Amino acid sequence: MRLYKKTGNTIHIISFPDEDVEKGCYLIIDDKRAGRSMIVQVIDVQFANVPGIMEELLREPLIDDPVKGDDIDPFDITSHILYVQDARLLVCKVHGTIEDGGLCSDSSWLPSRTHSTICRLPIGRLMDIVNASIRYPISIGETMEGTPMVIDASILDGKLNIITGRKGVGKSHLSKILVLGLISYGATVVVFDLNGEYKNLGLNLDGERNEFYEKVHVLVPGENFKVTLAQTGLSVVMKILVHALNLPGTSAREFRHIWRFLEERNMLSLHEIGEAIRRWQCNQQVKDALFSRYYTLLHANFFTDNVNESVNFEGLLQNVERSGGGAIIIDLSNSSSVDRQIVVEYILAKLQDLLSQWKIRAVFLFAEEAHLYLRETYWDDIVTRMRHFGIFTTFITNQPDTIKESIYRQADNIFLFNFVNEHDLEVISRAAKVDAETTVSIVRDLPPHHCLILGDVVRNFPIVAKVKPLNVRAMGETRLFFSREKGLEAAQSSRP
Amino acid sequence: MIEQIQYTATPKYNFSQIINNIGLSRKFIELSLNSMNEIKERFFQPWIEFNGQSIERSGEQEDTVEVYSRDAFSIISPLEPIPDNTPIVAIDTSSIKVGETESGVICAVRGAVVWNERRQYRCLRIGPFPFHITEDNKREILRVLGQYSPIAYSSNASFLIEVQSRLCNALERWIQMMVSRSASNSIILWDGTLSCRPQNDCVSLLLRILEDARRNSNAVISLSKASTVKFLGRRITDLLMKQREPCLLEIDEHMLSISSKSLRLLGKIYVAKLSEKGYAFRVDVDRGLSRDVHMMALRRLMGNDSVFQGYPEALRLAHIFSTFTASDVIGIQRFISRKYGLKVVTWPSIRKALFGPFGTGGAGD
Ligand SMILES: Nc1ncnc2c1ncn2[C@@H]1O[C@H](COP(=O)(O)OP(=O)(O)O)[C@@H](O)[C@H]1O
Ligand SMILES: [Mg+2]
Repeated sequence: MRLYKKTGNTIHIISFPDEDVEKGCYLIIDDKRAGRSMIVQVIDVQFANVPGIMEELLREPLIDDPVKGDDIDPFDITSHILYVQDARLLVCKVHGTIEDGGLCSDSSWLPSRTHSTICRLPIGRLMDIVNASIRYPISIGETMEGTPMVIDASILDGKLNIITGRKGVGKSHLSKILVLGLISYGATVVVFDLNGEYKNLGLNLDGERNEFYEKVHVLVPGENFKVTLAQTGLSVVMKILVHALNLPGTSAREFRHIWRFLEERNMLSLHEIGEAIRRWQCNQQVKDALFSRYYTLLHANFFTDNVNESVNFEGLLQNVERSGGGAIIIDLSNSSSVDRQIVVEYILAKLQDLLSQWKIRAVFLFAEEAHLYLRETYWDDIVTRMRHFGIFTTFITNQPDTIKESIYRQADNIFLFNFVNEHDLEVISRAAKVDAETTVSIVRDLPPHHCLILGDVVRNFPIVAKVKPLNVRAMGETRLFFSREKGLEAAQSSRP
Repeated sequence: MIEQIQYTATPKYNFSQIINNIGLSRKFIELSLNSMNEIKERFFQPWIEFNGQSIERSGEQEDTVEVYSRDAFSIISPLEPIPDNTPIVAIDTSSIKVGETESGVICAVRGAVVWNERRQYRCLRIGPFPFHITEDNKREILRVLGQYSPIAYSSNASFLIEVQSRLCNALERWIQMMVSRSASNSIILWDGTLSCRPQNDCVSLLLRILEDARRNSNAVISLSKASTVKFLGRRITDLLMKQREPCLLEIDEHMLSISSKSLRLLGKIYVAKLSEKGYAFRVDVDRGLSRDVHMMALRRLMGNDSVFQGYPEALRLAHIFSTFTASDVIGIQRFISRKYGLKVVTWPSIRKALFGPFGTGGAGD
């Protein structure tokens, strides 16, 4: 490899066909005389502008058939000519300089063209250079060189993460790896599981219980996850009514009165609230508004008057924390949009309560496609106030534009999977933590199950990783139309 | 040595085998190796001629003939093509300077044979052969080339660049000889003219090659891009372009001016426009063949090769395959510096200090 050109923090390097470099890998330009080396990342591999190559291509004759040819080339010079013609241009970005054994961000100096040597810098060595000692390793797969790609769980602590990429490339898969990694170190994790795909984290591929079985708690709202009004408390109910169910201000005030009225008489129940609304002295409009919300709440089947049927969510969280960590999976796959919002309001409110009262220490929250249930005002809250309390969120989405630019800017780590759509690429290029060119060029060509990691976990050196497979059942039951039909057929044919 | 080729099988020719089996390659390779092994210098200044031109055969321009009388101009028109699957074989070579050392220049030579049988083009490239030419070894090189590049002591062989074109010439003559001997019933296309300057002792070799070709019922036609026929200072090739149809203009020897007569002409000179739309070229056809055979050969050429802009495709391809592109030159330079462990010098200032007056070969900086 030879240094060709440098403009700003972009470096062009000529590389020959036998040199093993690919998009995303790192190179080190070592200028021994200057006593410094520059660390650069290859962000694009292009044809080198080899002089005469145009003539070479134009040599194809006028006729359609290509000319079949032989060479009498006793010196085998042709191989050298082809070698030159196949030269590639590596477009690289400077990521820092090593001087006196230390790393600095200086990228302004010019390595010598003549006495610099350029060679590949394996990710493993790069991480050694940046002193990335890892206390709580989570293995997420392999680097481009096939060495283990390990991140430090403690660096996810207190952080905001985003996992994005187009559908089916492995976002949820990576998210599961992170969840399992975190709980293996005793962390408490809550997952908003939109597709019901986390509920079998405790089972391996052939359905046997794995080491996490005891630590994975699946809550299905309306089924094994119901709460009483008393557990919920007025303030949470009010949030649900106002934010999830859009109850207008005056009606909300009336509801508050009704709640207090019943509470004073120790009569707080779903049934009594219905009765109270019916009897309450207020104008018809308010009454209608209250009734419609009331029925929605009833319908959600999330609230119950039966204490035995209810889940003590606070207790569950505290238990999880005390018993050495675990994941609480909120399976939202069968909930309607409104129901999802109700549940999410409840959980976020409860988490904030518990955290602010120091009843639990911290929670890692994984939210799949959060725009489908997270109300507008929560987004900024999550990255500021809630983070302060100890809710550390990871957003997972295939629609990068559903996350605001300000959120991207505050994200500590971003895991980018492949995008091909120009609009999506543009969104992430504006939002991501490194230069747009690096992001777009690398992300555009990422194969499935590969991601570009940006941020603290990689010491701000963008790194491409191949995410490892996971011996965990992905879905509960895979819902397939034809397999059900098959099941029916089987049932019918087995009939006597 | 002279073998009739069996031409029942298709394809008829396998020049790669024929040429590989014969001696000059060996002689040429040895010459190349020996010259290169003499490189003791530690420095090598790579060179790319940016105009992309390899050196034209020296003196071709001088072969331009002047016609002094218009009397006997007879235009044969239209010239009808004869498509009869006569094989067309074209030969071209080229050389290029690829660098300089303290004591001389390094050049490379390459030849190409392109043959068209039933509209199937095949190509054989011979080379590239690198040579290190120095003041010390140039006489030895010329001696070894011997008959293939007869030494003209009066010519300024003191220029190393002249040796380069001699090497190229020798390779070309040698390939021409191989093809003349191994092809049969074919039309053989050369680049340039079939004339010799009298002081140049090339006549006997050329005569021999033409004789070999005739013996195998081949017709040698030489097309010249650079050389032309002039009448009152105007190019007759230009005059002919106005003709609508393919046509031919015969130039009789008695029409030539005195100065032109001093050339040894081994071909009959025509000006030919071989396609409707296209240029006219000076064409020399082997004098040892009759005028009728000349006509037939030209018409067969039109009928069996694509003629684009008046120029036969096989010869165009031979030219293209033999000439060097910049990436060829870089590849050769890479080969040289690898194989001989030369230190590449790229800065002009260093170069001047190291190389002094040598190496530019008279071509200038
Ligand atoms: N690194 C991986 N190795 C093996 N299989 C994977 C990997 N990543 C994802 N998969 C599989 O690919 C499919 C899609 O992955 P998923 O994480 O659901 O994609 P996404 O969430 O991006 O839509 C799933 O069946 C998953 O098991
Ligand atoms: Mg997913």
